[in-house]
Amino acid sequence: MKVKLPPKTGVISCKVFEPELSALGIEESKIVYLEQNFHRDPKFLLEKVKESLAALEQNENIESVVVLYGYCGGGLENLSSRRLKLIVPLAHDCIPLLLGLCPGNACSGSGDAFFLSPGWIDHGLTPYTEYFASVEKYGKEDALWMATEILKGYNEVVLVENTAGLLSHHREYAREMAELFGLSVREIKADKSWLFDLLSGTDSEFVRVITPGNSVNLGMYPSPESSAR
Amino acid sequence: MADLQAIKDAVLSGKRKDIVALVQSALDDGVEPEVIINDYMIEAMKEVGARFEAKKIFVPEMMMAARTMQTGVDIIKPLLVGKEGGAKKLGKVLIGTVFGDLHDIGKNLVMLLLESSGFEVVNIGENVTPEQFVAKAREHNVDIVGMSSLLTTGDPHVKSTIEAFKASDMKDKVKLICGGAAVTKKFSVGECGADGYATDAVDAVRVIKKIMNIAA
Repeated sequence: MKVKLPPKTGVISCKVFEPELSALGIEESKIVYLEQNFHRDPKFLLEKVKESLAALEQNENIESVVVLYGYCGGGLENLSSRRLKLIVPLAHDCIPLLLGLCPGNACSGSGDAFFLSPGWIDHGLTPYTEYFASVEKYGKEDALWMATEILKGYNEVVLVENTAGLLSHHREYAREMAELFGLSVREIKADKSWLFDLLSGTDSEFVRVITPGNSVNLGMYPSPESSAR
Repeated sequence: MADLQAIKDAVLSGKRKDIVALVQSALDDGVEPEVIINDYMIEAMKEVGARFEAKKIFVPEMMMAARTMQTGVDIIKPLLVGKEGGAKKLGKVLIGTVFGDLHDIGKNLVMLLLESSGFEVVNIGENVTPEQFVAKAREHNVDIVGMSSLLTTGDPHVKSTIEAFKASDMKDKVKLICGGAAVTKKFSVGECGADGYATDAVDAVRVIKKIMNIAA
């Protein structure tokens, strides 16, 4: 499945969606990627998104921007543009977007799942990658304690396949992470329509278009039953 | 001779394995346990907090510093039993993550920094209902209740927890403070009527001290 962006549309995206955007055939030149770990500091994330937006505002060939981010704990609060339309998914974070519009959130499973996707594995910081950094710094015992503390609310690792296919190293990563931290592991196929609608300019109740001068705010987001991280 | 600066450095850099020998050596040299805790470990944690606020260190470093301090305190604790001074508490704080949210790293850091700063903390865990918050606050007769929410979907539960306190016999007995990535001052204090809001663990200590009129 390929998607054609509407004319004069750019994308600001978390790097975590790189595999999905690539699989959907979105031209690299239309996308500004930002690092996945920015979400850990919502104020910093907002600064970075604003910087990218300001750059796109200078481009006369751009009239709309898909902001491929969840609300990320306030990372998009008050985001606005004087000239550009912002197209924003009504998701609290990237996980519902990656899972897609499954009826009743059936894809998400229980609330104790730690979700991984190809982008999370290839471009993101996870407790598994951080474990190895901590081993070097503090030794195995403390690194394992730290990761276990961070993951103690989770019982399973769920590997999500959206538009990007899962490769062997993704499966290996998920399996090894689950094994190290004593979690179960499974794979799910997500519904792809949310990302498709968002990027193709299709009307959807899960996508909001913010006209120039107006801003993103928490009140426009629904209160879904599931939110993952 | 005891190397007290090394104790501070060990906490600062999260060298948990070093702290045991360093603390034991200081105790063997006759250094008062309270001096080790108050003048070196707590001072180290203050510095850790400042570095965290300045984004010079992040959650893993802070977790390891707190664990290192805890390891040192565990050695000293038996020596403090029955002694005044080391056990003196500034106040009692109940802390939990609101209903629907299982995240606890930030909350636990708040707990560790509060304990390091001289507060007694009752941690009631995660996914705590408003009714549980109120009941536990009553049971433990606390001064402050801290509630945490990492997810924006937890906002309604922050609100209902505050409402539960306002409608209970505890409304004039405790002060309510909110924090967590999803919570804002505008929402928690402005809309819900909390007594305080903290941006992070370091700020939580500062705000609680301010609410309780304790010098920083």
